[in-house]
Amino acid sequence: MAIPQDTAPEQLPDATSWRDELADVGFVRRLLISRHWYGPDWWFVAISAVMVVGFITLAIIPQVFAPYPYDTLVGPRFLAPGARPDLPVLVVRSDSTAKELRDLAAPANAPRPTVGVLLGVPTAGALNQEAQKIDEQLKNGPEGLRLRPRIERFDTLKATLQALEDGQVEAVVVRQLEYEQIAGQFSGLRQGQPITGDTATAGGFLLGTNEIGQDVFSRLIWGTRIALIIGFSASIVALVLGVPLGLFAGYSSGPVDRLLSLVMDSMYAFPGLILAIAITAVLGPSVLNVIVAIAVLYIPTYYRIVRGQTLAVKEELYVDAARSLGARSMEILRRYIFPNVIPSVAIIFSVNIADAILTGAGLSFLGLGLPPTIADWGIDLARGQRFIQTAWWMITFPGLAIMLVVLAFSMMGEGLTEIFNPKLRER
Amino acid sequence: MPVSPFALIFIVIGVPALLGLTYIFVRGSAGLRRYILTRVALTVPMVFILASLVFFIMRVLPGDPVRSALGPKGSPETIQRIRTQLGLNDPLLVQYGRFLGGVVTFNFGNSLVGGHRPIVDEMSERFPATLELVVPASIVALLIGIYGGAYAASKRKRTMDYALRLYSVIIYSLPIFWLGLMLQLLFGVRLNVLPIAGRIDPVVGTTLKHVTNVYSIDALISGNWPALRSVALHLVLPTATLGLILSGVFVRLTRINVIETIQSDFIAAARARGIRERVLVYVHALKNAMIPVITLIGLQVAILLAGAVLTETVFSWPGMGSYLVERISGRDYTAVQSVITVFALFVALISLAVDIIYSLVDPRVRY
Amino acid sequence: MTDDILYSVRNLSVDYTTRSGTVRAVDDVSLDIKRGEILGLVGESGCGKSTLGKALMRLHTGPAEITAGELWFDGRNLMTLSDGQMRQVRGAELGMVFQDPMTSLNPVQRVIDHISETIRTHEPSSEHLARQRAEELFERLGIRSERIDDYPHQMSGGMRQRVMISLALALHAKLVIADEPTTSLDVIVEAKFLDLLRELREEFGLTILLITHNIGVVAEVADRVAVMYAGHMAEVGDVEDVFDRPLHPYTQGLLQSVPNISLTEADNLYRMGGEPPNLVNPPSGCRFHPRCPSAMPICSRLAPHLQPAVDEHFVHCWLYEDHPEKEMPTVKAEG
Repeated sequence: MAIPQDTAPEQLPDATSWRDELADVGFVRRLLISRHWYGPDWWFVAISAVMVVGFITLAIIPQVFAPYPYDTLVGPRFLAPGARPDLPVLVVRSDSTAKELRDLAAPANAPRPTVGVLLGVPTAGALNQEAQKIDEQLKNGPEGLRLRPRIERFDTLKATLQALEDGQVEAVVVRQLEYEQIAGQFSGLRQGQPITGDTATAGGFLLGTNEIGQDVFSRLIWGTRIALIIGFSASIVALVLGVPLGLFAGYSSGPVDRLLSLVMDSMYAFPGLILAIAITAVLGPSVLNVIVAIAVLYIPTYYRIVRGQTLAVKEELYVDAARSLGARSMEILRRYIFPNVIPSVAIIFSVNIADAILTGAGLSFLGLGLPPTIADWGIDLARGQRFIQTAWWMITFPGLAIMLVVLAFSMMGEGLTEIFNPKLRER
Repeated sequence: MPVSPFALIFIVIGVPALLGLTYIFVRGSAGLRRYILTRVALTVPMVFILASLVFFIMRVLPGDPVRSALGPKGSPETIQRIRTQLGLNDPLLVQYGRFLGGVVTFNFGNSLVGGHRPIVDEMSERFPATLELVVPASIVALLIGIYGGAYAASKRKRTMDYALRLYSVIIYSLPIFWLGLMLQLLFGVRLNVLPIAGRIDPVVGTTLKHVTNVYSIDALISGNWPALRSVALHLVLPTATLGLILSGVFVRLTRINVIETIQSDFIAAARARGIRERVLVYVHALKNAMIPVITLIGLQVAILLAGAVLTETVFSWPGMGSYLVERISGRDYTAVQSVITVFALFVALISLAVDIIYSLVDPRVRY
Repeated sequence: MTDDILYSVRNLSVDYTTRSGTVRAVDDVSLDIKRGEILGLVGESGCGKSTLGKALMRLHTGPAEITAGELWFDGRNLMTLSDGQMRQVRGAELGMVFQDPMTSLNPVQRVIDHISETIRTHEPSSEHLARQRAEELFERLGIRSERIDDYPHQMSGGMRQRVMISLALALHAKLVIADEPTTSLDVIVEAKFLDLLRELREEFGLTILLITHNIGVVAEVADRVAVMYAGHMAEVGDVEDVFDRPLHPYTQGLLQSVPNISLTEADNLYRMGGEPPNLVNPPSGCRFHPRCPSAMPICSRLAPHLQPAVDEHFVHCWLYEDHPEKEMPTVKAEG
C-alpha cells in the first residue's frame, strides 16, 4: 500500500480495508476474500473445482462407490430404476424354520418336500434349476442331504397360498411382488429369501439394469475411470508436444515456423472427430489408440495459442531490453515468454480435457475406438439406443454423466478465462 | 436423368463466388487482390496435404479389406484376383497418382464392398442429405448465437448474462448424440409427435420425384405438399439437435467480441451523442464485433461436420456422415478416403469463402 | 441561477470502484460555466478533469459513478433526469469532442452517416433531409464534399477532428465539452483547430469547456481558466488574472515549470517537489499539502473551501481563508 512521501506520521490511516489485508494473508483466506472481487465467476470456478475433484475420486477408487463390478450380470434384464426385480421367493408357514430354499433339504431317505407354484408361469423352471444346483452341492456332502422337491401346481395364487397355510405343501415359491400384494389375506405365512440372487439385488437397482442385466449405476461409476484416463492422457500428450512446438515456432519465426504453421492450420481447420475416426479406424480399437488419436487433434490448438503469445511477448520492450543486456534465447524463453504463456495454457488444458472426453465418448458411441469389454459411457449409449422404446434409463444416465464431467471441466476453463483475461474487465 | 447434385452445388456456390471474385478484383485495391490470390493459392496445398495424409494413412493400415470382405469363403486366388481388379496390387505411387487424378476429376473409384458401385454415385445420394440437415441447422445456430451473445453482452454482469453464459457452457458440454437421443425420447417416444428416424415417411417418399436429392427442394419444385410436410417433420429434431449445440459456440464468441467492442471509444462517443443503448449494442457494436466472428465462423464448419456425423448416426439420417461410419465398419477404405477427401475440400472451400467475405465486410481491408 | 451562467456544478463527487479500493476522482467540486465563454480546465494527468468532463454529461458507466452533487444545466438539475431524458439531452444540448478522433469514430460507418444518424435520433427527419443538413455542416467546417462518403480511416487526423466537432454541433448544442481535443494533433493542425473553435463560438453562440493539460492552449484561446489538482478545484478565474497573478501555490508551481525561452544553459528547469498523490488513500485535508512550500499545520487537518479571493477569482487554499485555528495571517490578494 503506497503512502505519499510527505505525509506526517500522525496522518497514517489506521483503518485498513480488507483489500489491504489481502496481501498479507495465506492462500486459503485469500481465496475466500477474493470471492468479493470476482463475484459469480468465483463460484463458477469453485463449484467446478469441487466437481472435478469429485470425479477424479470416482475415477481413482470406483470400487468404493460402485455397488457391483461393471461386467457381472446382477439381475434381470431391463429392470427400471428403483424397481424391485420380481424374484421368485420362498414362502413358508410362520412356524417353519426354513428361510431359504436350501433349508428344505432333507436326508436322502426322508420324504421329498412338496413345493407349490402357480400354474403357467416359469417359476417352476427356476425352482427346478436352483434346486438342482443345490442338490449337486449337497449330494457329496457329509450329512447326506438331498433336495429334490416335488412340485405341485395350483390354479390361482390364493389357492397356492391357502394350500400352504393348510399344510398341504411344505413351502411355496412365488414371485415377490405378487406375493406382497396378496400377503395381507394370510396370517400364518412368512416370506423367506428369494431363490435366485440375494437380498441386496432384491431391493432393486438405483438406475436400473441394461439389456443383459448389468447394473447401470455401477457401470456409470466405473465409466468415470476410462473417461478421465482418456481425457487427461490425451491432453497431457497434446500439451507436451504442442507447447514446445509453439514456443519454438513463435520464437524462431523462420521457414520451420511457416511450414509447421501450414500443417497445423490445416489440421486445426479440419473436423476433429472425423480425423479421430480416421486414425482409430486405421490403428484399431484400443485405449492407447484413442488417446493418440485425440492427442493429435489438440496439438494444433496448443501450438497456435502458444505461438501467438510467444510472438506477442517477443515484441515487448522488456524482452528487447533483456536481449540487449546479453540474455540468451533459452533464458528469455524460460524467464519471460514461458510465464506469460502459462495462464493461457492452463485454460486450454481444462477445456481440452472436457473436449477430449466428449470426443472419446463420441468415438465409442460410433462403435470405433474402445474394445467393447470396457465400461464406457459412449458404448452404453450406443447399446441403449436400440432399446429407446423400452428402457429410457439406459440412455439417460450415461449421457448425463458425460455431460456433468465435461461441464465440470469446461466451467473451470470458462471461469478461469474471465479471471485471467484482463481485456474483459470493465474499465 | 437427375442432375448430379455435385454439379448443382458447384453451380449454386461457384457462380456467385466467381462473380464476387471478379467484382473484388476489378473494384478492389492492390492489397486486396494480393490477399485474395494468396488465400486461394494457400487453399490448394491445404487440400493436397490433407488428402495425401488420408491416402497414406489408409494404406498403412494392417489387414486386407478384401479378405475381410470375403470372409472365410475366399480362397487366396479369388482374393488376389479381386485385388488386382480393384487396382490394389499396383505399386503405391501408381495408386497415389490414380487417387490424385481421381480427386481432380471426381472419380473416386468403386466401393470395395457390396455391389462395387461407383463411389461418386453413392455420395451424390448422401451429400444432399447432409446439406439439407446442415444448412438449416447453421441458420438456427447463427440466429440464436448472435442475438443471444449480443443480448448477454448488453446485460453484462447481471443475472441474464450469467444465465446465458451458463447456457452456452452447458450446451458446449452436452454430447450432441445424447441431446439427439433425449429429444428422440421426449418427442418421439413419450409424446409421439415427431418422427425419430429417416428423412421422409417411406410411403410418402415413393411419391417424391428426385431431382436434386434435397428432398425439401424436390418437394417444392413438384408441388408435392404431403412430401414437403413429411420432410419438414423429419427435419425438426435433427436440425434442433445440431443447431442447438452449435449455437453454444456462437453465443460465447459473439458475447466476448461484443463486450470488447462496447468498451471502445467510438461507442462512448456515440453514447455522448445520445444514440440509444439498444442501437449501440445491436447495430454498431454488433457490426464491428461480427468482423472477427466471421473468420471464426469458418472454423465452426469443422464442428458442424463433426456434429453432422453424430447427428446422422443418431437419427439414421442417410447423409455423408453416416456413410462414413458405415463404410468404416464395413472396412470399405476406398470409400472412406474419398469421403474424407470431400470433407477436406468442403472445409477448405468454406474457409476460403469466409476469408473473402471478411475482406469484403471490413472496409479497412477493402480500400 | 443568474442568466449568464449556463452550467452550474454544485458539490460534485465522482467515485471509481477499483480492486484496491474506492478512488474519489472528483471531490466536492463546484464550478460555474458562463454562457458564451471558453473555459479552460487544466491540470496534470490523473487530476480528475476528464472525469469531471464526462460527469457533466452523466456519461460514466461501470466502475465510475457520481456519488454526490447537482448538475444545473440551463435551469434543470440533470441528476434528476431519467436515463431516457438524459439521453435526449446528450447530443442535442450537450456535445462532446473526444481526444482521439480515430478511435472515436465507427470504423465501419461512413462519416456522413455518423451525423445523419445523430440528427435522426433526436429529430424526426427523413434520410434525405438529414443528409442535406450534414452536408451543409461539413461544408461550413471545411470538409470537402467529395470526402463526405469516406470511412474514418481514409481521412487525415485534422479532418477527423473536424468531423468530431461537426458531430457535437449537429444539433446546435449549447455547451461543447472538448476533452483533450488537440493532444493527438500536431502543432500546425492544432493552431487551425483553435482558430476554428473561436470562429464557431462567434457564429453558433457556443459555450466551450476545453479540457487540456496544455497550459499554452488555454492561454491562447480561453476566457477563463479552472485549475484542478487531485480531484479538487484549486483555482478559478479570468485567464489574465490567473496567469499574471496565480494565487494557489500549485498554480504558481505549474506556471513556473513552463519552460521559458529566456532561460540560459546555466539555469535549471523548475521542478515542483513531491509526486502526485495516490487517490486511493489521498492526503488528508488539502490534497496538495505534502508538496506545498507554504503548508501550514491546518492544511493537513482540514480541507479549505473555494473562496473568492478577489472578485471573480476563486482559490481553494488556507492562505486566503480565515479560520480560528490558523496561526499565520490570511493573505489578502491584490486585485
